[in-house]
Amino acid sequence: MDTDRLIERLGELPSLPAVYHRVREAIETPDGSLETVARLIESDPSMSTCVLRVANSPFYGLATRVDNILRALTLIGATATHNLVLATALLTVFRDLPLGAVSMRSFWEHGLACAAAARLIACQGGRANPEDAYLAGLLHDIGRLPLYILEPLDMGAALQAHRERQGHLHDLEQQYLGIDHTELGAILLAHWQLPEVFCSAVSNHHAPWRASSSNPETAVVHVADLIANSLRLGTSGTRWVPVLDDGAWRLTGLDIAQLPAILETTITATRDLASAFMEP
Amino acid sequence: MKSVPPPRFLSPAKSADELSSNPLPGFHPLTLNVLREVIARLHSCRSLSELLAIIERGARLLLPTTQMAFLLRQPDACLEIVHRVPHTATDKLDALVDELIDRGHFGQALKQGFVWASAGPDRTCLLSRISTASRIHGLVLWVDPALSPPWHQTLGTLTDLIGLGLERLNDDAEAVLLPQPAASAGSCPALDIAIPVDRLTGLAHRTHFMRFLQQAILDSAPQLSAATLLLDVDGFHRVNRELSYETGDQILCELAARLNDALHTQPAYDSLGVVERDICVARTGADEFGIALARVRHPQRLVELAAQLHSHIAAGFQQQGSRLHLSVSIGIAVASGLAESTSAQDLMRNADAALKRAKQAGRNRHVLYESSWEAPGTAHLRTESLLQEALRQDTFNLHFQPQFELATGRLAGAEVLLRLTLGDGAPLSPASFIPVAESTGQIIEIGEWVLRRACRQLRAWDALGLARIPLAINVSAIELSQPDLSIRLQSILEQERIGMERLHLEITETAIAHNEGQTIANLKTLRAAGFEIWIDDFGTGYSSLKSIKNYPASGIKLDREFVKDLSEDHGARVVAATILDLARNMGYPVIAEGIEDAAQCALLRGQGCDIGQGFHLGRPVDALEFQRLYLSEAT
Repeated sequence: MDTDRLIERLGELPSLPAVYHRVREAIETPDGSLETVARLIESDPSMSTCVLRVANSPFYGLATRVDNILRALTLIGATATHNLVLATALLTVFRDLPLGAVSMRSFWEHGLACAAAARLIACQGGRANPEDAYLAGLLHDIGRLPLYILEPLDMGAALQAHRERQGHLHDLEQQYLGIDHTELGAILLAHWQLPEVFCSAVSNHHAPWRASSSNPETAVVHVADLIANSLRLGTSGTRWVPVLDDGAWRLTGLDIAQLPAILETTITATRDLASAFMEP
Repeated sequence: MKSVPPPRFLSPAKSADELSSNPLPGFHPLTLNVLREVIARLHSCRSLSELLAIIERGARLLLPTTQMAFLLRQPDACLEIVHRVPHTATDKLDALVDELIDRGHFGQALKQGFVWASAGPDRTCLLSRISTASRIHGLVLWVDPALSPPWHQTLGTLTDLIGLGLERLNDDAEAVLLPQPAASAGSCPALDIAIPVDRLTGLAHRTHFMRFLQQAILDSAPQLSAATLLLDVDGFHRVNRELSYETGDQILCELAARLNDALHTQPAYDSLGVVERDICVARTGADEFGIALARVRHPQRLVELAAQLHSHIAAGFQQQGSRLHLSVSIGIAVASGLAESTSAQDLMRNADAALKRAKQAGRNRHVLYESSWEAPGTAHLRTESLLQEALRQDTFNLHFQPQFELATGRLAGAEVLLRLTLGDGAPLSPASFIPVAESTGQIIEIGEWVLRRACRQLRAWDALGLARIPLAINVSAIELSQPDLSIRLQSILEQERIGMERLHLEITETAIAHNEGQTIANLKTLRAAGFEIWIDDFGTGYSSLKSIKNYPASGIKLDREFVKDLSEDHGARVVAATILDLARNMGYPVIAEGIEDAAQCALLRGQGCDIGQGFHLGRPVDALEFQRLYLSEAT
């Protein structure tokens, strides 16, 4: 398998919508204002509907219902705004694609579950940035999209081998395609020019010991992925629960006693997020 | 009272007294009762803790002071202590486990099935392996002062039961995905519950599904229902036919995986109020999947579940770089509470009836069975399967009835009529099978078949250099309400290399009224593509002079009703004349149907009717006959 060619072909994937790039630019400009961002979002009716629906979902816990984009953005803050817009853009662009044995819906349910769990872990453990953890969780398996879309046959074979219990799916990806979703995901994020923290979390979420300890988001995503898989909240293809890395667990700052409540909340938060993002 | 001495050869004990005062060491008088009790409760336990509680209770009845530790193999293949009895002995048991591992007893037990070891002064312990024919699940450590070698049999049996219980608890789908190994030496084939598997998709097989459903019905209680969903892939045979069987198989596998994943998620369990092992997903037919659900606490949410399943399929499937859209129709049936003597077959029949309705309502939707539908007939079902068979075996055939220009007597075209002859040679009247085909949705396939066949006939006649007449075919209301009708028809004609102008589509006003918006839109695209559209049965159905001017029609067909009494009845003549006038004023040519004698023919010609059709002019005949009678003379 020619992995370089696969990487070159990342350009064949749908690109992120222009409105996302403009929003990001506006947020990153030192004198940019949320007013500008709000106007940009409002210029895209489907984006604004989705942003309002997600901002109003129980997940963000706003006190009252908000019908105004600017007010919603003010309440959730600039980082959360960026993440929300990126999430909305991704889920819209990669929504209606056929993926073979994994449905796009299951794929995103898994991403949203991991995002929800990661945010909860970051909040309760107090080590990682909750908003970064959320986005890293959402993106952690993004590398599987190009594998499914660009190499359907080899990826289908890897998936079949996994279902026949020949090994963990990420190992089989390596074997069948010469690259796994963590590596390809990190390349894709770099291609989209997302900050390093996300690339690292995506590339190391199955090997958190490789990440630097100044990057607790990776450890958080590792644990969140485990939770999402063991609760079977959607799936990106794997049917096995990955093995927990002790170091990562310690790095999250969580106590075992906090886990039951996190599981409970992850289930409801995933449901809320999935209906906010994916219901027509 | 004198006791009857037991026969010597059956029991080593001399008398009943002797038996109870001197029991066999290690074989407690209650052993068999305890094992029977455990076996009886095994199938009803729904979690690991329930399973272990049953075993624990049994063991405690036999050996009240026994201490136990249960170790299960984790996904990474390590053994882990999951439960200790009693809780107060936790530390001691953990230390003992470590010690036994160090002494190599664990490895021995895993290899041999069991091993004895001492656990300090006057304490013996037994390690027994939890295993089934397909895999090793873990070990149980038993510790008790009274343990002696004969106990190995009893405790070994309890351990085997844990293995069976674990296998049952395991996700059905996963259990069936295990490659079934050839029974290895030492395994007990009688205890190996083999679940029949569908080889293509890895899902359960129909036989297992039906057994599961039957058990689910038996287990249902007022608050816990059994339910089933039947999913049928709409028009799947087209995938096989137009792509290939390999493609079809692959898509079925992908669909199966998606369904299985969508069902086995915590939110799905929570929403229905079930646990993992209450769900059985199976391939119940060639392109049909069944979901059997046991102990459903919220059957009212099944409809939501069905909607979810649709959304997992909506994005379609990737096929050689392009996307293939498939839809499924879903029928849902619930056996609520203590339904009188419902059987799995009954429930399946209900789900099937709901599935039929979903197909009928235009496919890609779900319908919940309602008992109020009860039984409009088996005749319908029989006809339906006849039609299915006719499609498969190609036993339909076409007849052609000539149409002539009344002024010149020249052949103007022919109406294509569908004929079905049964195996015994008896014809089945279209009037009896078309309504059935419309209600089941089969009319769409039949319609396509007719169109293709008509195209091929035209091509055959063209190749012989015969007159290039147009053919008129009937299009049903169901077909007209399909949004992709025009695209499908055009692509068929393109494939068959026949110009659109060679086919005249006959539609009834009633069909237009059926779904006016979609139909008119379809007709406009069809007109624009070059098809001629004729309004059939004009004047008898839903007629509205206001809307007729909106129809994108090419002409109208005067119903036989008005032709029939033409020569006797003055009223009929007036109506016919009025319609002809109306048509002329609107610029529509008219074909009169059902012309049965020369008088009718002459009258219509006198009124300026353009084209005629009827027994007087020519009966419907098969293609060869049509060619001989009407086409040869035209050349």
